[in-house]
Amino acid sequence: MSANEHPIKKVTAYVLSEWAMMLVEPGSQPETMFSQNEPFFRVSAYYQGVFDGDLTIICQEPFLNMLARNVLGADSEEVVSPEEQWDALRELANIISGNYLVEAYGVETIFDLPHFELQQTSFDGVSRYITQKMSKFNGEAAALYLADGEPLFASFDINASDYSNQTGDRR
Amino acid sequence: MSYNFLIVDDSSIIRRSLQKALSMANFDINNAFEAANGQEALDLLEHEWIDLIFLDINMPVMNGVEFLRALRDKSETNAIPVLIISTEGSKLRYEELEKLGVQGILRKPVRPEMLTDTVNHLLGGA
Ligand SMILES: [Mg+2]
Repeated sequence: MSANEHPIKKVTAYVLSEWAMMLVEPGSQPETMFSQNEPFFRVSAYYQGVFDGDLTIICQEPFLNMLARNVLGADSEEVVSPEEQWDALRELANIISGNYLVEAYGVETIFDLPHFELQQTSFDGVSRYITQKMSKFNGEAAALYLADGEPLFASFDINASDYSNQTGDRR
Repeated sequence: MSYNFLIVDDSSIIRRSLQKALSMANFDINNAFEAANGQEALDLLEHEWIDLIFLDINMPVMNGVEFLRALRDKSETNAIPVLIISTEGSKLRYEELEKLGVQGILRKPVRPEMLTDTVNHLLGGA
């Protein structure tokens, strides 16, 4: 991974391999990576304060199941409930967000607790959302990976004025 | 000597994975209690003796910092060692936690070996 890679890419890959013990490879086309037949899950963390922004993670059922099992080191007989799968996704977002803030803003800045939202969503909604985020900032602030072969999308979108200084892109 | 641990984290998957990591590390555990927030932990401390607390910061109802203040305020609980396991990375927050007398801070994600080493160190030094 290159040194000047966007922190969201770096941190997402780090947390997936370090916490979820997954093999992480770069993804290519969201339209072909995700399966239209599987439900989509989306978790977002909203920040307000020093800046306004949101961290969003999108994945599907097989990833969610694998994430929860890996984190627990569950063997094949062990039961992992749907609640625990949701919980694993929320915690994934929490860990990525904490590490992202340090990576992007350093240890001197203090952030307030983000507010997390979980939802199940459709292919249409997701596909439009991902395309939009991938085109914003030339896809720099978005990460698309295959984690143990399952697709995962993560983006960090900042709406505060301080980001405009870096990109000149205000919408 | 067998130990009583208390794991305080709002995430059930984190509590369950910590339980697992601790039991696999072969600590002599009498009980590993769980609480989903600071208030639940305080309630449990009313009637249980605890040797080491694993504490998350970001939790609903009562967060880790509020819990620590309450813990350090009471003579019965103010000497209990606390290991922070949180996503928190801010230097200011770390200074605040150190002032509240925490024995260690680990930032998530925490590898099981890291957890084991830290707990060994804390129990050995206790
Ligand atoms: Mg938490």
